[in-house]
This record gives sequence, C-alpha cells and structure tokens, in this order.
Amino acid sequence: MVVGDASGAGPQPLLSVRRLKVFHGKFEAVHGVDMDVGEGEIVSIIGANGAGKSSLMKAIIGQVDRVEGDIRFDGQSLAGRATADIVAGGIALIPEGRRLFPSLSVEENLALGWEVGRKGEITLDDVFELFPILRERRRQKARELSGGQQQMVAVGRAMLSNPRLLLCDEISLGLAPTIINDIYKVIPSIRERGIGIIVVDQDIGRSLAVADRFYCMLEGDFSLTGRPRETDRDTVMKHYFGL
Amino acid sequence: MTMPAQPSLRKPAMRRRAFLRSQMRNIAPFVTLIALVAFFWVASPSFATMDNVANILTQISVAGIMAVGLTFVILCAEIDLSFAAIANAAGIVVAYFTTQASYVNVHNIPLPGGVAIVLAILASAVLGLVNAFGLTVIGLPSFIMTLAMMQIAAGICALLVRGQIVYAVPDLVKELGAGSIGGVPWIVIVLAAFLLVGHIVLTYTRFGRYVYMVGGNREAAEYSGVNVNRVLAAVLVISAVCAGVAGMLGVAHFGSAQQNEFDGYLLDAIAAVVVGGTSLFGGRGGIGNTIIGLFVLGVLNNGLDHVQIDSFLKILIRGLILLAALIINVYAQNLRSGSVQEAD
Repeated sequence: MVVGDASGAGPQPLLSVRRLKVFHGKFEAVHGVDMDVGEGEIVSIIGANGAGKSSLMKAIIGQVDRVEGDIRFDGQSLAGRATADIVAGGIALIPEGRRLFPSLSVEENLALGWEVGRKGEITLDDVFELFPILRERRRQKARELSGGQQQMVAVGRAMLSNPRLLLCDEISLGLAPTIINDIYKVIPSIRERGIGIIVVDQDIGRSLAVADRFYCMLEGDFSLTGRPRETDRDTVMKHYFGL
Repeated sequence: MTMPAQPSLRKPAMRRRAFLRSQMRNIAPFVTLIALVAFFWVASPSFATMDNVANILTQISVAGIMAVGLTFVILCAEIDLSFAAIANAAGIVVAYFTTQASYVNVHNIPLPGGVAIVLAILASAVLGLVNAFGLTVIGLPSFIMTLAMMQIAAGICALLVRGQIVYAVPDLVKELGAGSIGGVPWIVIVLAAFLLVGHIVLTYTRFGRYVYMVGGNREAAEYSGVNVNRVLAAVLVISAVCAGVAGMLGVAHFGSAQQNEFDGYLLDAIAAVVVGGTSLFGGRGGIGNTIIGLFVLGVLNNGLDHVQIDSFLKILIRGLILLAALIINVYAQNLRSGSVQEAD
C-alpha cells in the first residue's frame, strides 16, 4: 500500500532496488521488493523482528550468499561485488550491534573507515566535531566505552569512509533513550552533506520523525510505503503488525 | 561495624584478577619457560652453558622461520598444515636447479644459484596462492585445503627426487644455512630478521592490524569494508614463503634434501605458536608469543637430551606439553571471556 506521494528519489536514484529476493539457505527472507533512495534523502525502514530489514541491508552491502533481482548504486549493478568493493565505492553500513574491535583504540577503529572507504572530505575532526566525547577518549580501547559511545564510534567509522549512502541498522538497539536522541540528532547533519541514509529501526517514532520517506516491512514484503507526514500512526501500526 | 573501605578494596582486587585472567595466555608460557630452564639447569651441568644456548638457538631456527609465517595464519583464526611440506618442496626445488655431484642419480636442471633461489621462493609462493585460492575462492576450510596441499607438495618432492637424496644447494643458501659470522650462525641471524620483520608488520602496519581484525572479529571486519579474502590470501602466501626460506636453509643446514625431510617441523612450528600463547581462535597473540613458544620447545627438546631421557619418552613428553598448552589456550580464552563480562 502506498500513502501520499511516495516518490522522491528522482529519475536517477542513488540506490535502486528492483524485485529483490534475499535467501538464507532455502529460506526466502525478502520476497521481491522495490525501493529507491535519493541523494541527501533519509529513508526509514520499519518493521518488527524478523520482518527482513537486516536481510535487506546485508543484501545491499554484499553480505548475503544468494539474492535475486537487481540492486543498483549510482546506476551500477552491485551483483557479485565484494563488500570491500561496495564500501570503497561509497556505501557504508553501521551494523546492528556496532561490531567494533574492542581491543583497538577509538582512533584505530575510526581510522579503519578512512582506510577502506572512499576518499572524500569527511575527516577525523568532522567526526570529533559531531561527537566531542570521542576526541577525549580517542586513545581508549573501544571495550572501555559505554554502549552509546561505542555507537558514536560506529557512526564515526562509517562516516569516515566518506559514503554516498549510509545504512544504519538498528542504531538504537540496547541504548538509553537520551543516547538514542543524541544519535538521531546527528542524522540530519549527515544528510546535509548530500549523503543518502537508510535508517532501519524498530523504534517507529524516532525513525519516522527523521525520515523523508518510509517503508514498512512485514514478513519479507513492504506492507506500506509513503511519507511520514502524510500518514497516521494507526495506519502505520496496522501495517507494522499485519492487522 | 561498617566497612566503608571494602568496596574500594574489592574493586582493585577484582581488577587485578581480571588483568591476570586476561594475561593468562601470556603469563603461562613464560612461567613454563622459566620452570623448564630452572629444571634442566639443576638436572644437567652441561645445559646452562653459552655453547648450549647457541645450540638451542640454532636448533629452533628452521622451525622458527616457519613459525613466523604460521603466526600470521593462526592470528587470522585459520590453520596451515602444508607449510612443512612446502618447506620440503622448496628445499628440493633449490637443489633440483643446482649442479649435483656425479654420484647423485637425479635428472636435474642446473641453473645459476640466484635463479634457483628465485624459483624455489616462487614455487613456495605459488603453492601458498593455491591454498589461498582454495580457501577464499572455492570456500574450502583451511584445514582441508592445506591438508590436500600437504600431499600435493609431498608429491612434487617425490616427482623431483624420486626417492633419491640431493646435497648441493647454491652458495648463498649454503652460507646462510650452514655458515656463520663472528661465531654467530647465519641461520640464527636470519631467524632474528624474520621475527623482527614479522613483529613490525603485525604491530606497526595497516596490514598487521587487519590480520588481528580478521582473526578477532571477521564479521565486523567484513562489514567495515576490510577485504577479508585478500588478508587471508596474503597470510597463506606469507606462511608458504616463510616455509620456503626455512626449507632452503634447512637443506643447507642438514646437508641434504630428501622426501619428508621436514615432516617433524609441522608439529614443532604449530606447537611453538600455540604454546607461546597465540590464540587458536585468532586475533590474540603475536611474534612475541611465538618467540617464547620457540624457546619453550627448544629448551624442552635440548634439555631432554641433556638429561638422557629415552628418545621415545621424549616424543611422549613433547605431546603432553603440547596438550597442556592447548588446554591452557582454550582455558585462557574462556577465562578472558569471563573477565570481560565481569568488567562489563
């Protein structure tokens, strides 16, 4: 179901997904979905646990063994490309659970983004400007940080790869509400750099508040797409739970 | 009575305990080494002499050069079972391309020494690349791929020498494997150079950091954009080339090249890396650990000779020491996980 004007990515979207099916072994986790993301656009994907959101993210970043359909980034197919190649090409993932290297320092974790990503204008100072606490803790091991600070490192690492498209998978998971607010506050400022952003979250309120458009996922399909301001919470909840 | 100091006392104590637990992997091999040295020092008057120290250093050299490359592989949470066979192949290749005495019944192809050396190193690198292809492209587990390569390399050895023994190697290899400078065997200097370069690469380079990342959390490394397959391929080639150099120098050191010559080094080098405390689960350890492991094995092997133990019993003792090291390795991993959770 589409509510309001769901278009917005323009004629040449930054990311274009067509008839995408994602498989885990024989299990089909995503059933032929279409999705677009434009430059500087924030697109939210909401859905309950097991809806297929993370499978979709993993398919885009090249971490799924078997997919069918077409994923194009800046007009180029991502089929068969390795994750390292995709990241170097301008897509970065903030993975669920942060996935930092606990024995490395904050600075070393951040440096990885710079080393493996696309060369661009975002520097370590930009990240420290967004998250000043990281400048103070730059020499500390990642394992010594709080969950919120670790999430900041994960965001910073992804930003330092100078992405054109940023995938944020469950960035609020396990964090205190005040920390989640802090993390969500930086998303619009990242968009100001022209970076397209996909926010995947179970937190419907925060995720829709920040998005230009949204896709609601239910059992591997999009059950609702549209603009957050052109729909109401009841409609979203109905499609979120498949009522 | 209130005890206000208790929490503050308990915290440092807990921290100390957590630190000791996390360092168990490094402390245990060091304590083992000290205990072995102390035991053999008391048990045999001929053990603690400068000549014997030099002897131990020479004895660990071939296995040590192999262990440098293997450290990279194990840090990536992979295993290479083919390096000893690749060492054997490289030793035979360099001899195959060297002029042999007339009584050696091998139809070889004599080439200039430099060319023979390059061909032997290239052969090792190619065998390492085949391992890498199997692991990263076909998707075979490293255990299976390198087990197959062990047979392939043994087959190459068999084909080249056909059961014969060859003796001559290029002068440079002969000098580095069997010569010395100022009383210090060249092979010990080569080992020191390999250990130093290995340590620098693992500690101070981007590639070294990626090795630890891939071994410590492969999924995170992949998500971050590290080319994990390239890192895995590189460590297998490094292991093979280290084995190739060890094989060439080993042939010069022992004076001959023949089939299955380095089979015993498979266990020695793996034991050195693991006994030293490098985690079989990857991501922890390094060349410093390998150095301690090499000395533990070197002192054990050499010391057992000095106390006149039955050579068959010596094999059993070595096996038991390796088993103990493996248990400590796994136990330390569990303790560390526990201490991290406790600290959290």
